[in-house]
Amino acid sequence: MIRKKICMLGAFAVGKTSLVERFVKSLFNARYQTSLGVKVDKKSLAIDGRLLELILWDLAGEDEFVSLRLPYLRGAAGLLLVVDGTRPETLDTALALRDKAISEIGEVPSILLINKADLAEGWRIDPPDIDRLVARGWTILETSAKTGRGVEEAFLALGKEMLQ
Amino acid sequence: MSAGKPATEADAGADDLSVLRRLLLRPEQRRIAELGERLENPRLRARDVSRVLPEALRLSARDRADLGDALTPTVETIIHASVRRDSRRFADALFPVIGPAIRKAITEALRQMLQNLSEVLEHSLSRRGLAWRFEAWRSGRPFAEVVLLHSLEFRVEQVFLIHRESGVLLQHLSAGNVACEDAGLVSAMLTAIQDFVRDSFAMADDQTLDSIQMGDLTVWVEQGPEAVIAGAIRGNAPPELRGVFREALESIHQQQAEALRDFSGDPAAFETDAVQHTLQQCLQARYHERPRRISPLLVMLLLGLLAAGGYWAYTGLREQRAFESYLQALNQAPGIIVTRAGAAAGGYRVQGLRDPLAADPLSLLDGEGPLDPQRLDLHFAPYQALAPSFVLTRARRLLRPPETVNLALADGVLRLSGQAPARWTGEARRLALALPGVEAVDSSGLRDPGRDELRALRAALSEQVIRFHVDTTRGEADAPTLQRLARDLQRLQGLAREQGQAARVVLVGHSDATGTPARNLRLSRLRAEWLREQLLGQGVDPALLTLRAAGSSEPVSTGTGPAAQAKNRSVTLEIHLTSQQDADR
Ligand SMILES: Nc1nc2c(ncn2[C@@H]2O[C@H](COP(=O)(O)OP(=O)(O)OP(=O)(O)O)[C@@H](O)[C@H]2O)c(=O)[nH]1
Ligand SMILES: [Mg+2]
Repeated sequence: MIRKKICMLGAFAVGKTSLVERFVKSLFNARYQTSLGVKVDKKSLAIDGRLLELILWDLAGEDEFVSLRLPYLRGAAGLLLVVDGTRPETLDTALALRDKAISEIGEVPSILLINKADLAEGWRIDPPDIDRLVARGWTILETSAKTGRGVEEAFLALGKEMLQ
Repeated sequence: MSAGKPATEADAGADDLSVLRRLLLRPEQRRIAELGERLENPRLRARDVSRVLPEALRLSARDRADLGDALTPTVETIIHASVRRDSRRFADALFPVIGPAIRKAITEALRQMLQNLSEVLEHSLSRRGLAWRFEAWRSGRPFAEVVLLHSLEFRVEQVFLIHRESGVLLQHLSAGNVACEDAGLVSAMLTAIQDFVRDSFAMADDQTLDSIQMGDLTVWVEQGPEAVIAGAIRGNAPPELRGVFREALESIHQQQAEALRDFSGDPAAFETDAVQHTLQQCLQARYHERPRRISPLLVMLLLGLLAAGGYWAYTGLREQRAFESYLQALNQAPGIIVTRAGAAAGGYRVQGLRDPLAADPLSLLDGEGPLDPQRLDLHFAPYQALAPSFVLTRARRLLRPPETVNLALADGVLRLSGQAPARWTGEARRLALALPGVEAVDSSGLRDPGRDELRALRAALSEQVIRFHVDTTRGEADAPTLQRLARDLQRLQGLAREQGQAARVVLVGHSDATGTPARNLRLSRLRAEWLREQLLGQGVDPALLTLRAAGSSEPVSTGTGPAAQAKNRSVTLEIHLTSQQDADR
């Protein structure tokens, strides 16, 4: 068995917590997250016959009151960057957060999730922007915490990259 | 060399030499011969070796290791053979070693069982215990756990070994029967909390929060360069426990330096026994010494004792009654006299007299009754009871009457009836008077069948006439007649002896009146002699028989006809019986 810490990163209200809750049957009530700025969950996956235990650190998104607590990133083996498809600026935030994280902990596998896919008609992110990122080697997935679409796949994809 | 003179010279020279050698070297030669003997004679050699063998073994065992190697196969073979032949002897030899070990193990197991039992008992029965039981029922936790938690001073419930950087759990141990929450998550959360505190209060990296309160648990955190040990503690842990944690952490850093440095998510490296063992040191616990107040258990015990006492008194009473009725039974039994009786240490004591012919005193006790025979201490001195039944029994033993005799006792008179030889009767009359309880003997009811038979036999034999032909000394009687006669004579002799008498039989020879008196006399003698020969031939005792020649002087028949004359050519029998004493005299 392998245990890996991964961090959920993204602007506030992009749906990080909703995605984790979709993915994990959470044991704990997460009231502490507001004070602590992080919520921890655990999920086991089987990937290519190996057992992977993901420790999910769901970091609170930055806003004017809360700033990212960098220490939480330490030891992370992978990052899930979450973007709200209806808010184009959250993509910039995600990219900026990633740069911050890399400078803190070094290069680790990352996946970009464009969330709220159920609201696709309201998406306002430019497809060319996405294509550009893909061309730069990014793995980008569309997810919906509401319908569950792409959620499992997103965590699996990150798991696979981390095990490589 | 050529033969002849020089050879003789040489011989002489050799002779001188050997003489000289003998003179000079005799003691040495003897010694050499002796040594040769000792080397060649197996018995002597065995004796020599046996003298040095123990010392040689000792030396060899001290200085060299290979003696043991050399002996091992032999010793093993011997042991195998010995075990095969008689495994009991071996078991006996080993028992002193194995026995105590087994006993110790069993004792230990028993001790632990008792300890558990007594604790559960104590807690279940005390007032506090009842409260705890209620608590267990209310909270749905097992009673044992509630007891444990309340009597706990502190206990390290869980130990986490955490990768410091990522907060990933490396290893986790929990004390028995304490629920284990998801250790991987706890480990991450503890790390997050640490991070948060350090971040929020701008602490340096090596400054950490070393104690966190989480519900009713205190978490102690010990930070190392690569790993963290966190212990979840219930109760109030002593400060020394810190040292234990720190030592464990240091030891793990030492053992697993590489694995910690290169850790990338695989905790397998920390599943070793060494790590487990080190962490185990942190799982300590201490319990309150419970004050020994008078517990309800004790009260119950006392009540139990009282109840036992009541029962004891009750059984005691029952026993006392049983004893009294037993005494009564003893006193009523013929041949038993109780002189003293009463309670004594360990039961009851009875003293008295008992005729050996009386019933066994214990057989008079009701075996199913409340009086245990083990608690009876009986002492009976032997005596002779004069109850008629005992006197009769003793009379029977002493007199040994034939089956045809009846004994009865009334007013001190022993009455004998039935049939018995006169000889027995005389003896019995004498002996019976020596018996206590017998004042007189009445044997008038006894008949002697032997005397009657003797009388009849005597009469019959006296009538016997053994006939002879004219002028012959050969009887007419055939073999069966002679046999019958011989048997009768023997029976006569036996019966007479039984009656204390001696029998004598005179064979009287007769002749008829024809012929001269001298010739008749001779004829009659020869006839009597012939009969005697015949009878002796049939086994009749010679001492029984005597002869008398009567000639024609004692005619059997006084008639003159031929029939009467034929009767007179005969032998008749005269039977004489005299009392034994007279005969002996
Ligand atoms: N329609 C739709 N709404 C979503 C989706 N994911 C999240 N939401 C909503 O978006 C809001 C914010 O969601 P959260 O999961 O709290 O977002 P977050 O990223 O954890 O926010 P912070 O913790 O504040 O950074 C909530 O009202 C969710 O119901 C989605 O996929 N579709
Ligand atoms: Mg959130």
